[in-house]
Amino acid sequence: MRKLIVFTLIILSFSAFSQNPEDLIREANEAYNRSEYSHAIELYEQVLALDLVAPELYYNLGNAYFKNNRIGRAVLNFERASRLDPSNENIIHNLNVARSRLIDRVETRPLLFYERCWRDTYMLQSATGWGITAVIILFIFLSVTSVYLFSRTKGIKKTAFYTGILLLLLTVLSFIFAQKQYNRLTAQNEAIIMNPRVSAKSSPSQQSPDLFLVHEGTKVLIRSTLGEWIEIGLTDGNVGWVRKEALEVI
Amino acid sequence: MRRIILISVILLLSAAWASANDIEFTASAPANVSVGERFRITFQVNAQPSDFTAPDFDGFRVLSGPSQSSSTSMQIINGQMTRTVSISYTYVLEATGEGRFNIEPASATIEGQSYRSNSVTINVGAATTPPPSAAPAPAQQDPQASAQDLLVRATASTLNPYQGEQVIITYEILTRVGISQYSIDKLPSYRDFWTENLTQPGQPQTRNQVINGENYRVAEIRRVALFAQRSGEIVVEPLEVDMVVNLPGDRRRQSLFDEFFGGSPFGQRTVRQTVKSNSLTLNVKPLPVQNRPAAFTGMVGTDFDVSANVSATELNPNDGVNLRVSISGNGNLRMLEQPNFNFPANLEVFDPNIADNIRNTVSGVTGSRSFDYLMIPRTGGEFVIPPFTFVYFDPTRSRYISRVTPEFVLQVEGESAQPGTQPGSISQEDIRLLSTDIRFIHTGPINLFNKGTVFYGSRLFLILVFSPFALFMFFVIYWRNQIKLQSNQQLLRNKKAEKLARKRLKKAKIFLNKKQENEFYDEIFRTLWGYLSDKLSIPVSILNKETVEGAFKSQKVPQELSESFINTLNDTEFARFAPGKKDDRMAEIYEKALQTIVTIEKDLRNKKK
Repeated sequence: MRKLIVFTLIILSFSAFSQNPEDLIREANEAYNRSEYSHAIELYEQVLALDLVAPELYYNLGNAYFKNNRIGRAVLNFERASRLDPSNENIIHNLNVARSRLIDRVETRPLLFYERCWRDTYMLQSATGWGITAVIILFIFLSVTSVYLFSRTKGIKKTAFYTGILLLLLTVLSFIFAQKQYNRLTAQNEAIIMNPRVSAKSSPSQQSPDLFLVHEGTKVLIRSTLGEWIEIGLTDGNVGWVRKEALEVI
Repeated sequence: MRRIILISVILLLSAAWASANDIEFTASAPANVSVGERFRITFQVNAQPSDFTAPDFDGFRVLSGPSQSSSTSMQIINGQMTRTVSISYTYVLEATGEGRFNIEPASATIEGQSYRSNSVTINVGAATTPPPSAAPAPAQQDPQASAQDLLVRATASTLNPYQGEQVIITYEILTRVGISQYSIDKLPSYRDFWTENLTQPGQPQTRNQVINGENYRVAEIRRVALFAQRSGEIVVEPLEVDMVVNLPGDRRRQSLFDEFFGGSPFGQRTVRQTVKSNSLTLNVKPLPVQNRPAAFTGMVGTDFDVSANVSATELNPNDGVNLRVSISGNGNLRMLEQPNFNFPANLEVFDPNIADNIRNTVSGVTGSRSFDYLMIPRTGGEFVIPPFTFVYFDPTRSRYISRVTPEFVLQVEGESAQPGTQPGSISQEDIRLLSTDIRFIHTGPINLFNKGTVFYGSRLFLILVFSPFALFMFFVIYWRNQIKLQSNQQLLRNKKAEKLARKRLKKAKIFLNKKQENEFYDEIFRTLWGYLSDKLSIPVSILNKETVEGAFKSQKVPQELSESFINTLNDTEFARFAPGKKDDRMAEIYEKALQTIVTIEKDLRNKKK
């Protein structure tokens, strides 16, 4: 009994000290519902400050930023959500809507048919999803291999052989996809412009001539970093230097 | 019956109460007069009084009165007749001394009840005749009326309006000298405002007003409604008025006669003079952001109302139907945008005709604006015109108010939406996107995890990848051992097969000698099957002629050998169940079985080598 009381007290003191992230999220959702977007943003950011993430959390935060007319932040958070859950239809939709409100429309090279197929396939699941798939298929593959090795009946052996080859292929692909998604997730090479308008310079100094203008929310590739300056590349091939604080890494 | 009486009594009582309540008894008189001025005070009542008592007019002399006048008007609205009676009692008074006087209410008796009017306060100022100028200025060629005698005053209905709220600015000439003519010289530019002129046509009305103890004639010359287009401090520039002023002339040259009549043109000089009004500073407040409905389009004003109606609700395809939306109220109606309707996509809607009935009255811009939509349903079916919400900001109540039109359902004859069935019908359209917005937030439970934790590449993942391999290896090794063990057993049985067969045949021989037919055949059978089972590693349970043939084939035993084996089996079976004497065949079958086993044994042994 005493133990129970002490335990309860500890729990209580914890909850008093820092709010439960689930409660924070619930409160934030309610604030969003009441159109108090700034308050909702604050609460979602508090959860993120605890180093806790989830695709839905980024998604909701992105929505709140969007409703608050901070499109750059909205795109950033939708991109982050999409990295964690690449096949979520809502995230893709909102990301596209947010992108359609951007000022810059950077041309991207349309993918060829097989490129698109390959991309669509590995975008079906996140790194975790492909990892789980890989483990499961590997297990089945080994089981089928055992059947092949120890079966005496010709028919079963034959079936097991072909199934085994197919499963081996699937296992390898799953591992490749998982690795690809993992690289995407951990790569620090993409960023979103945060300032309303940024002029990209030809070299990392304030005096160098302006090459082009990029606006809030545009996605850029980080090519290299030099002190306070970052060399960015656009999807249409333009390259220039901007200051570090003008963008945020996805 | 009783109830009906009760109800009628209540109704009658309430009617009497209502009519009694409607009695209005007012006293009206000018608020400012000067000493010696004659004026009227009127008591007006909207029913026939049986008795009227006027108050004492302390501080005034009653010159005439009471004079009574009455008027009756009848109105028929929706078949109901209303009769209005108006009786007025007028006195003509003269102010005798300066000061502030209060005239007590008058009393009247109407239908046995006593009513009192309002009391009236009258300020009596000094006499209007201008004071004699102490210092004559003969040298002054072009004298001007002083700023005290002649000024233009600008007043605003409010100095702290909301953005878009109607502010009425009134320009008045205040004068103690005569003005024969005036014209507005320069209008302010009214930057940052939407302006509506409210000045009523015709001669301006004049009245008296006492300011700082001085009696002025006041004439309103211009009235405008301003709608601030931005928030913050906005200065309304002064208005400049050009006036022809009648200044009192040189006293010395005036005869006694002229002085007596005061207004004689002979003793006056006319001077042209330009007077500037004061400027006003408006502190415009922005509209509150909090609780602002999404449908708000910027209309600010009071008493707005929205009505909507359709000309028909049942019609044929391709018939036109009119939707009229009318918005009325006090505010900047000329800036009113057209309603944002979400019409059904297969209803063809033309741009609306806008009809205005907007009046600039003394109290501001008021009226209505209506939008006429011509709609043509191109297919049959049911069309729902959704409600339209009009939101405006009421500055007097400082909040947003919504007015909603009803929903209309149009019933159109015929089949709904069959594109292409009718010649000339519109072609099938893509789904029209009315607007794009983000989807709603995820409200279900969220599975939070620590930043940077990815299942792929984690320790658990590696364990899950390598443990099946380990399991697999273990399984393979175990199974191999098991097979080895089994195959050893089989090898043993294979080797012993011939011996066992011979043993069994010996037994059969004994049965043959004893002429025990059944036992003999049983034994021969068991010998043959048992030998095969051991030799070919086939369990006895699945042995039959077909599997034996297959097994022989896979061991590459020649065709004739396998045939002879099957023949032997067949013969044994036949001999066993054939009717008649069996003992004569027993020896033959014995020989055959022995022979077959021996030849197969030899063949298999040769193969091994």
